[in-house]
Amino acid sequence: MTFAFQEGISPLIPLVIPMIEKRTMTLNLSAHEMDVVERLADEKGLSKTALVRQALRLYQSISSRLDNGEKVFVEHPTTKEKAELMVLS
Amino acid sequence: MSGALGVYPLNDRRTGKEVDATLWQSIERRHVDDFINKWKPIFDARLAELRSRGAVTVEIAAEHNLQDAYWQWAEKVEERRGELAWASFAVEAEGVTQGLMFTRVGADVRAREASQRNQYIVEIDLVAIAPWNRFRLVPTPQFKGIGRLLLATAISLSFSEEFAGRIGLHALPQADTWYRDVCGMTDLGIDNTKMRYFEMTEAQARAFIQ
Repeated sequence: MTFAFQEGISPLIPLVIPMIEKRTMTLNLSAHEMDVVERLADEKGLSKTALVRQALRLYQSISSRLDNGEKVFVEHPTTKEKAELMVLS
Repeated sequence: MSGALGVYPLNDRRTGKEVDATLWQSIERRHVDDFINKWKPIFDARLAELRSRGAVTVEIAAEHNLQDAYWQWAEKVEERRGELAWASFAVEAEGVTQGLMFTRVGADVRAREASQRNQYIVEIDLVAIAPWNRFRLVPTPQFKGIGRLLLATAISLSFSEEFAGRIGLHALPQADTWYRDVCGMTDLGIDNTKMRYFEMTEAQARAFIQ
């Protein structure tokens, strides 16, 4: 939900704004794990870094819901059978 | 993660001069305090004045640029603290908060526009400027350029996330024309939220920030 700005575009700000600098880590993966990361990154059109960041957000979001006592399910598209999604505790 | 992203010029309509504004990621306590102590009293005073003349309908609130007066910035900041899906930004000038924004990214935040359907985007969840910068709420709005700065920030976040500048948002009715006609976003109509949904493609984003 967003608010109105009753003004034209100011010519003062032609910009791409640098976001906060990120930190670097080394991630050790097996060849198979790396294959999966590369394939998923390719499918999603993201770099491996961006893919891992998206995955981390999803993992945090699900963990947070489970921590709050919620349950997360996946549903079969035709049978509508539901399976509870479990994550590491 | 918090810090100043840079200093950018705003135009002070009263003097015609440029004023430096600092863009912050994330919204801090002082920004929330400004909303509570400086923004809200102006909203409340105008709402009280309008109520003295009758019921304040959605249309009347829009006419007076007040539709977001009830947004609970303090609660949102508290609820979303530490959540990787959320990012927040604040613009300060002359020592006061001039604009606030929340954005969201995640596996479920995807584009709807045909040319980019299902690709990741940055969603602008909430964005607002201080009441003294608003037409129809005050006789002479002070700063110009806050809305553009915050929209450019969302686009920049999208580039940073490798989403190619793609952004999306639901607009309050008072904002429709700005997003469509001034920012060049694609109007995808009113959806199940009963609000109009807009999206910016990579090409539109590049045009906006050039």
